[in-house]
Amino acid sequence: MIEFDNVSMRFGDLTVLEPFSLSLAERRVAVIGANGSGKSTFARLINGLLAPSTGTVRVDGLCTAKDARAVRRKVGFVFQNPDNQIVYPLVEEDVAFGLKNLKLPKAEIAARVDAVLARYGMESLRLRPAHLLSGGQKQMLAISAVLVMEPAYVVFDEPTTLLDLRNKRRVAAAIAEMPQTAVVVSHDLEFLTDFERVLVFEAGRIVCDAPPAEAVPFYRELMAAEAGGV
Amino acid sequence: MSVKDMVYAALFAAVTAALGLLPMIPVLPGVPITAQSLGVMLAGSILGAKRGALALLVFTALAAAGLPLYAGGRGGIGLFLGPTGGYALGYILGAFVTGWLVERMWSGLNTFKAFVACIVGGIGMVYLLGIPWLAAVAKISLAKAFIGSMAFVPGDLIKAILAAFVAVAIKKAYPIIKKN
Amino acid sequence: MFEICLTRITWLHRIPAGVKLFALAAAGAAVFLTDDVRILGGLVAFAALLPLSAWLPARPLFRQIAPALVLIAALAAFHLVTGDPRDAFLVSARLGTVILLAAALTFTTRVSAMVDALERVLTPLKCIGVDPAKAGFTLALAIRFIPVLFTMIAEIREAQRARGLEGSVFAVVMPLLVRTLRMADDLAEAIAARGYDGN
Repeated sequence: MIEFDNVSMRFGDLTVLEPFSLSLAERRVAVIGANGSGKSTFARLINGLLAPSTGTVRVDGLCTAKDARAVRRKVGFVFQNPDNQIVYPLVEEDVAFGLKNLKLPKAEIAARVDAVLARYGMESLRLRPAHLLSGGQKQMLAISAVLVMEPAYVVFDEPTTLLDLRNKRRVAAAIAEMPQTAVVVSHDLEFLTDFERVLVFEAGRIVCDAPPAEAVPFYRELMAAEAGGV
Repeated sequence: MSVKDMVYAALFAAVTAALGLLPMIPVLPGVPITAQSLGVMLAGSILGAKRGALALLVFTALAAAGLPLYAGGRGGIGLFLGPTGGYALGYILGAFVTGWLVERMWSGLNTFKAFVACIVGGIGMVYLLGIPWLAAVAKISLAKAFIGSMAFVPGDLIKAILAAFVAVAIKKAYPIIKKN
Repeated sequence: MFEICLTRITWLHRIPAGVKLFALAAAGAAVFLTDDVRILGGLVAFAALLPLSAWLPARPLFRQIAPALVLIAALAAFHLVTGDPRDAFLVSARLGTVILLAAALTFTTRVSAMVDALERVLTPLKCIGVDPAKAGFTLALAIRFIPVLFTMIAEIREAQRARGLEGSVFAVVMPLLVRTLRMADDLAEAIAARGYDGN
């Protein structure tokens, strides 16, 4: 359960998120909105990468500002650009990075790395330098490196934006089948049809909170109206 | 050392390596120059003394470990034990001094002040260590080592002008030194 | 570019990186501590025979040391012209020894093994506030991002060429730095998100 209690976000004079309260209990939540609407900030509040200006964010009762360390163990985060989140030169080293931070014993790290690479069909790439991977392989590496830490929740910030259609599908399929609760910020509306709940952001407010059948057409109309207004 | 310190040091080490791939128009015929020593001035003037010196330390350590990072694909520990070793160490000191001077002048930084910092740090310090080292290792007189090194100075001055403009532009768009 | 050494495993590859590094440092100091022509002659002969004894591939090895050999030849010529053949020999034997041994080390040691060795060398410095684990992590980060920056600079140069700005170093360096600084923010965030807090 992710709970926002009277949360708002401001950077200096700029208000990025107006005060809101909300709780998320669904397994698949999507967040959509135009660039600059506040959705990336919303995502970063969930695992404590940002602390709210007012109010509190709790994940399973843990406060993201006070228990940042525990919250980060619980909530994994996948960023838009895999190149900026792959930390180590070799595939297997990068997958092991998060596990080393959890201070797990070596044998367990090795076993978990093996398991996650096998699950996503990347065993043959384990000694490959990350910069030689394709864009899709890099994003799958980034996702594996987060899932190997076995978080209870995973937040994705536009995980498919930089990918071609085939790799968008591959990443969407990986998200669909993973056992964790997922909050996905996305522009790729066609992959959101199986989601349980969609939040639409507009200028720092949640303007629609509904299943995709209702929220996606709402968002399309909103964008069309804005384009017409210009 | 914070995570941000480590990230900046690693990325500017990589920037310095990448600048070695960027050819510049030779000022004196027959003296090939690349933008690499620009990395010294930029790391210092954008990141400040501590992070700038760390960046060049990382660059130097990896080149010593064998990565072909210096312009022309040179690398390996031999570079440091040979006649050019002083210049390699001068890179680290140069980034530190450039950064230290820019930090002192930060609130009123303009292109001219940044240019002076780049000359003192990025050129002065590099040659201060480079020339005596070259003279000692090669058993030639300081004067001869000095004259031989001067062929690279015109190119370095152009880099200092460029670095000064870039440092001031980056200060406006993306200030790092005072942010933290 | 990072595995120049791994063409074929030789006996030199099997010596631990730390031992080779220590031997090189000792040899580097020794050549500058002696003026004895016979000792220096012996050392340079040993340094030349070492890569041969391990059958290291000649062509890449030569490419590695060629710029240094040119410099040594110029220095030796300078001393010969100024009438000091003994200095010519001392300088070329010293530098030749160091450069050949260093090339042998570089060619037979993985960069990751060197970084590990470096981390161990730094361990005694803990008492003056140097953290070897952080140093090792920073070096690994740089190894990861060097090829990323190489690609970035190639992309930017291509884009500027398309806009007719190919001669301008400023037009390449500005976007390179802005993208790098943005990347630094993202990367620091990604490192924190995976639970690294510097300890």
